[in-house]
Amino acid sequence: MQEQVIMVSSITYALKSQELLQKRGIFSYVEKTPKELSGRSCGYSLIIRDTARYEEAVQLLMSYDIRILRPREGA
Amino acid sequence: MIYFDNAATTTPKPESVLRGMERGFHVYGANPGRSGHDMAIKTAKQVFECREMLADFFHAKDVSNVVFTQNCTQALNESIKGVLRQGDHVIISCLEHNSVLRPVHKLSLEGKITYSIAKVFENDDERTLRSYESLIRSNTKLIIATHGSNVCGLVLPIQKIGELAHSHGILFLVDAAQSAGVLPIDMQRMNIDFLCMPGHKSLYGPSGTGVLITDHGETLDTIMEGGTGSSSTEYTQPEFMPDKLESGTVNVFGIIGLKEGLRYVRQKSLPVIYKHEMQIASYIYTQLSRMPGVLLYTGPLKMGRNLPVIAFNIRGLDSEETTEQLNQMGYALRGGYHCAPLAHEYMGTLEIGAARLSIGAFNTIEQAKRFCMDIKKLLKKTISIEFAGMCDRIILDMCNFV
Repeated sequence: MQEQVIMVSSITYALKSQELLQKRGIFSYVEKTPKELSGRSCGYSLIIRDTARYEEAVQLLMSYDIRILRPREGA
Repeated sequence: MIYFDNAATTTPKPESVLRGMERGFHVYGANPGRSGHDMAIKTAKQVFECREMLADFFHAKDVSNVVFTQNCTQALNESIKGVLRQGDHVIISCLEHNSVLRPVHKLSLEGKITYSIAKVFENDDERTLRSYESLIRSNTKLIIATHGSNVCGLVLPIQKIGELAHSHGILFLVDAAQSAGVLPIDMQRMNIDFLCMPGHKSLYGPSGTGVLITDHGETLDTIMEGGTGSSSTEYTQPEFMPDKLESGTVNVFGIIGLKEGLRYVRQKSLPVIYKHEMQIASYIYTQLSRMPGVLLYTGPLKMGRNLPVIAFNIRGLDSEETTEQLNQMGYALRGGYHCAPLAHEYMGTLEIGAARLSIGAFNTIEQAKRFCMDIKKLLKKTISIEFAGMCDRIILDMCNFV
């Protein structure tokens, strides 16, 4: 199954995001952002398996003022 | 040993704190927020859960506003030095601990800021407020208030002071060193911009833990920079919270212990804890007030107006001599100046200091009764020594006369 990645800036935002998504029934797991996505920057990502809800997940997190990083942001 | 020094730190800690920390040593030994392996993520989750609990307990706007520090002093320094700029004016109360006074005073000695000291009036909030208000200037940036004095236990009207501060567009910092885990604190309702507290006092966490909660973290100058596990390739400190104010590895096991301590406090509930502690403190206060040889420095203890903290002296004894005698009798109290010269100036004890008794959740009324009986014995002993001294002097004078 293809997974979708939501990149955030820190572990705190990743865990906060995970909880917000979980309350909405969107399950994710937290990983260090892969280098091919992060460039040289450090950060954490949420891996969303239910790709159909990816956009919903992004919008939800943005509504909570969580900054979603673009791939290679900070490189 | 009967421990009456909870204002310094609480002991014992709840069993759950010890168990939580022990489990942490075995299971959560990784560095949170640095690596990507499973143990690092799980450890980070423990830290995050403590942050969440604190944010909820103190009504912070967001979990990211919760910053872990090594103690309350660090939290105070980060806020005070972080928020103040050249030319700012600060108002503090006359009961502040050195952890507020010293950073403020240092900044003033450096010519960076000026500060004023507001008077506190026991059982008269309006006068206390007017004192703060009378000191407000056009350049007042920050008002600081201890929620409760670590020496005499007087509680300040922080909600009203917060309202006053915000009505003038001034930021408000509360030193909750003695009140976090005893009195309810709602940052939103009380207009608190910076809330500083130790983890190791009435939150029953271990030493080496402290907390700063603020919505203004992103506007603060940092006093420490370093590795945060985020934005690693940038030479500058991240601007987002809590990373901006949390450089280096946090005290993971301490935070896990703090989480359990906070859970203990929540389960017991603040009203139950406060009532229990005040019942014991009030009993002791009442007994001491009936002993002519004991000097007290506040009126009778009142719920909401006092913390379970009593400052006292025994006539004829230096305060540290009193606490040393009590130590030999099996009681742990603190004598001297309690890192709070302003409070001693307020109490009129700048020359002699005071003995301080501070109650915690694990103290009992039986301990209080035993203490009061032993104070009577100490008074008798002190009077006997004084009387013997007087007799010696009389005899000596008579011999010299002859």
